[in-house]
Amino acid sequence: MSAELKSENALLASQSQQSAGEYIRAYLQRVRQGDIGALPIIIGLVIIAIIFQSANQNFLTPRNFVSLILQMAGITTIAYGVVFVLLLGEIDLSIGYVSAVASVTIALLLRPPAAIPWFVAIPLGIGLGVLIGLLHGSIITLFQLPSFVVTLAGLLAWNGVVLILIGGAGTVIIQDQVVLGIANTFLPQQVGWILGIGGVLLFAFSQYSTFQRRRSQGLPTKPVAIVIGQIVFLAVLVVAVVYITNLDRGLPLIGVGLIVMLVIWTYVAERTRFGRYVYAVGGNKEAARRAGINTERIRIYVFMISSGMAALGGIILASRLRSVDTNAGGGSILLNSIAAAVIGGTSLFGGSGKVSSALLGALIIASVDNGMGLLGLSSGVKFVVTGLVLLAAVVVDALARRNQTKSGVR
Amino acid sequence: MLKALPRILIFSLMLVFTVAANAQSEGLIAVLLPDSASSARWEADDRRFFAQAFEAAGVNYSIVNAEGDATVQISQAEQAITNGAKVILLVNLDSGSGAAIIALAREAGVAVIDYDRLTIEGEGADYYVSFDNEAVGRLQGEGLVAAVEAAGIPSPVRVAVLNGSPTDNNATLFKNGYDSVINPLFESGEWVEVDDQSVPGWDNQQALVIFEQMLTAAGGEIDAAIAANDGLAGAVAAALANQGLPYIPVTGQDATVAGIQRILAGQQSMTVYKAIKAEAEAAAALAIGLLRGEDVSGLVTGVVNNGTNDIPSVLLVPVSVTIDNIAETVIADGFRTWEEICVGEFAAFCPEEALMTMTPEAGS
Amino acid sequence: MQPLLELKGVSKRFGAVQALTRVNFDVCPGEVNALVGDNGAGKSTLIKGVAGIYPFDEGEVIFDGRKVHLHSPRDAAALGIEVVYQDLALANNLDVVANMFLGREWTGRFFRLDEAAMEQAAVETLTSLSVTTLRSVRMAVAGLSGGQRQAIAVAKAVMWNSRLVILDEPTAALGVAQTRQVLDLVRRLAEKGLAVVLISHNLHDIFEVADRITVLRLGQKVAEYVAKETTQQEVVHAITAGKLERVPGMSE
Repeated sequence: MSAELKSENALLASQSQQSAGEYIRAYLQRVRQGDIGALPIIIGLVIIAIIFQSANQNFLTPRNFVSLILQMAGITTIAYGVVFVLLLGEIDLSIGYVSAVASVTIALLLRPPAAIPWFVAIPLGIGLGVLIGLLHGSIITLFQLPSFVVTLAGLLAWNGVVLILIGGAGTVIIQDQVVLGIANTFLPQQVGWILGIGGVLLFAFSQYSTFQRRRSQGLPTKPVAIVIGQIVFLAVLVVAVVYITNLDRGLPLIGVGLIVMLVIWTYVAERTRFGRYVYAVGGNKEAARRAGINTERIRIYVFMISSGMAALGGIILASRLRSVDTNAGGGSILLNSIAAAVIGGTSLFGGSGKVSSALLGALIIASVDNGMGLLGLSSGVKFVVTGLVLLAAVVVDALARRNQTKSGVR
Repeated sequence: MLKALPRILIFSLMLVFTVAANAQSEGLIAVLLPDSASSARWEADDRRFFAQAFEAAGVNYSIVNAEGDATVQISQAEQAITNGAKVILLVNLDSGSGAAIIALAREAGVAVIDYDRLTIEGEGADYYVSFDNEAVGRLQGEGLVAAVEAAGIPSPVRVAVLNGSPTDNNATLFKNGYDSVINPLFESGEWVEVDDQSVPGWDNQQALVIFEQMLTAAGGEIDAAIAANDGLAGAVAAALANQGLPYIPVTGQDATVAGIQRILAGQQSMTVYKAIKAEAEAAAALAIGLLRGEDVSGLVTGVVNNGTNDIPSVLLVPVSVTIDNIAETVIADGFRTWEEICVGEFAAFCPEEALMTMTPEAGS
Repeated sequence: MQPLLELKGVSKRFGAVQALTRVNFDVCPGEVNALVGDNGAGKSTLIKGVAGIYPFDEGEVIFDGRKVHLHSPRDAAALGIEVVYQDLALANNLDVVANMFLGREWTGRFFRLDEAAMEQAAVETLTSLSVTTLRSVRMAVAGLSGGQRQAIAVAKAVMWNSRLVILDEPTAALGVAQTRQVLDLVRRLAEKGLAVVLISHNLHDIFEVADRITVLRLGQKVAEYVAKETTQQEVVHAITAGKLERVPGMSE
C-alpha cells in the first residue's frame, strides 16, 4: 500500500490488500478495543479443563469427552433458537416447557399399542413447537406486549399442558428405536473420518470460492496466510475430535447434528436477508422500519425459530433420558439455555451476538456440570459455581462493552 | 424477578378463584396440595380420592394446589382459615413454610394434619398421616441386597446412591431407611460406596448427568445402585443403555407404569408401592372425625417425633414390588393395569396370564 | 424548468392543530431548495407528507408532471423520494455496506446475500460522492464520526437512483470540518441532477449551498427567495415576522 495512494483516496486505499501481519495486528487492535469475540470462552474452557483434570484424572478422557457432547446437545439446540430471540432484544421464557410439550407429545404419539410412526411423530412435535412460536409472536406483535410477559404466561401455560398431557402416567418410556437413536447413535470410525474430512474440505472450498469471487471483483481479500491458517486450525480441531471420540464409542450422531445446526443457523443469521433484518431490528428498530423492513413479521419468525428449536431440543433431551416425565422442561433447562447464549457472548440487549455463542456457552456450562459431577460435589456447590460462571461471563461482557464505548466501537 | 413474577401471577389468580368460590357458611376441610411437578400423584390421585371421601361423608371441603410455591401455600392457608376451615390437610413444600402454616392455624384454632410430609420445624402438626417413609427406604435397601445376591455379584459390590431432592424431608427419611440396611455392608467392606448424591427437585435430566458422571468417575464399574424413586431409576437405566453397559440392580419407588415396565424387562429390581388411595382415605377419615368433633384416637397407629414434639400418627405400610408379585399387588389393587404396562416391547416380558386378560389388540 | 416535485395547496391537521395551511412548494432537478422556519413552522410535517409518513389532508402532489398519492413510505420510495432523517436511520451494529443496502439487499442462490456485489456498489457510490474518509466499508457504523454517518445516509439515498433527496438538519450535530464535508456532498447531489430539499436552522450553511430558500411560518409559506438575490437579514425577518395570509385561529 503506497503512501500517495493512501493520501489520495483513503477509502480505496484501505480497500486494498492487507498482509497477514497487518491482519493479525488489526485483530489484536480489535481485542484491545473490546471486540473480544470467543477469546474469553476459549480461555475459560482451558481453565476449566485444567482445574477439573487436576482434581480428577477422568475429566480429559475420551469417554468423558463423548459424554460431554451428549450432555450439552439438548441445551445447545435450544440455545441456538435463544440466540435469535436475544439478537432481536427480546426474551423467550417459555422454551423449557415448550420443549417438554413437544417431547411429551411425541412420546405419547409413539406409545404402543396405537403407535404412530416416528417420521410422522417427530415433524408433528417440531411443527407444534413452531406453531406455539407463531402464537407467542402473534400475541406479542398484535397487542404490542413485552415478550417477557407473553412468554412468561407461556411458561405457566405450557407447564400446565405438559402436566395435563402426561396425566396420571407420571412417566412415559420411549420405545421407538429411531427416536432413541437421536441421542444414542455413534458413527463407525470410518464414517467419522469421512464426515470430518468432508467438513474441512467444504469449509476450505467455501473459503476459496469467497476469496476468488472477491478477488475477481477487485475487492480486498483476507490474507492467504490467514485463510490457510484457519483451514489448518479447523482441520487439527476436527482430527482431534474424531480421533478422541473414536477411542471411545465413536463420534456421536448428535454431535454432527449440533455442527450441522450451527452451520445452517449461522448461514441464516449472517448470509441471508432474514438474518440481516434480525440484526437490523435488534440494532435499531426504527431504522429497520424506515428501511421498509416488516419488523413485526421478523419478530414472529424469530419466536417460531426459538420455539421450534426448543421442540427439537426437547426431543434430544427425551431421547437421552429414554422417557418423558412430569418434570420434563423444568429444572435448569430454561436458565441453562439462556445462560449458554449469554455466556457465549450474545448480548441481552439485542443486535450483537453469533449463533456459535450458543455452542461455546453450552460447552462451558456442560463442562462445569460434567466436571463437578465427576468430583461428586453436592448440588448446593454446583448451583453456586454455575451462578458464578454466569456472573463472570456477563462481567467480562460488560467490561468489553465499556472498552468498546471508550474506543468508539460498539 | 424470574421467580417472583409467576408467584404474583398465581397469587392474583388464586384471589380471583377464592373470591369467586364464596365463603363457606359452616366448617370445612381444606386440602393444601404442594405442586404438580414433583409427582403426578397430587393432582392425578390424591385430589380425586379426597373429593370422593368428602363427598361420601357429605362435608364441605376445598382442595387447592400451590404449584411449588411456598408463599402461595401460606396465602392459601390464610384464605382457607378466612373461609371457615376447621381442619387443614397440609402437604408442605418445605418444613419452614409448613411450620408457618401450622402456627397460623393454631392461632385460629384450626387443626392441621400433616399429609404425607412431616413438618420438622416448629411445634409440629396435630396429626400426621403417611406411609412409614423410613420403612420405604428399608424396603429399598433390602430389595437391593436381595437383587445383588440374586445376580451373584461378587464382593466387593460397588454401589452408587442417588437420593431424592435435598429439600424434601421424605427424601431424608428414605435415605435413613436404606442407609440403615446398606451402611453396615459398606462398613464390613462387603460393599463399596462409589458415590452418594442428591438430585435437586427429583429432576430426572439432572439425575441422568449425575449418574453418567458417577459412571465415568468409576470407569464404568458400578455394580448396583440405590435410586430413591422410579424416575431416578429410569435415569440410571438410560445412562447404562446410552453407554452400552449392561443393566444393574437398581431400586425404585412409586410403582409407576415405567417402573413396572422396567422391572418386567429386567432393567430395575424393585419398586415400592404405596397405596395412595389407602393413605388418602385414612387422612380423610381423620379429617372428617376432627371436623365433627369425634374421638379419633382409634384411628391413630403410633407417634412420630418431628424434632420437638411427638405427633400422633397414622402410619401406613408400604409394599415392595418385584417381578414376582406385580399381579398380587398393584394389578390386584387396580392401581395399574396390564393394558398400560404391556405395550410395545414390554409385552414380550409380560406373564401369559396377563396377556390373556387383555383385549387382543391392546398387546400388539 | 419543470419542477420534479410540486405541492399545490397542501394542508395537514393534527386534531386541533393546523400544522400546514395550503402550502405551495416546488423543487427542480439539479436544484437545492432550502426549507427554513422556526420550530413548529411545519417543516417536518411537510417532509413527512412528502415521505408518505403522514399523508396530506388536502392539496395536490405532482411528481414529474403527474399527480401522485403518497400514502406510505413505500409510495415515496417507489417514486425515488429519499429522506435522510435528522436522527439518522442507521443501524449501529451493522457495517457500512449493510446499512446502505438495508431493506434492499441483493441476493443470489439459496437466499444468499451477494456481499461482494453490494460491497462493490457501495464503494463505487461512496467514491463517486468523494466520500474518502472511511477506513473500511466493513466497519460497523457505530465506530464512525457524525459526518461519516451523515455521508453514508446520503450515499444510501443516492445509490438507489433517487430523484429527490430530502435532508433533515444534516449538519445539526456536526463540527466545522464535518459540516464542510456534508455541504460539499449536498452540492454534489445537485450537480448529479438530483432535486434536493434541505432543512436547516443554520442560515450560513443554507446560503452556501441553496439555490432557493422557502420560508415557512406557523404552517404557511410566507416567502420564497432566490438565494443569490437575498440576504440573511431578509430571510431572518421572514422567519420571525413574515406576513401571514391567514391568521391562525380565525375562521375564514
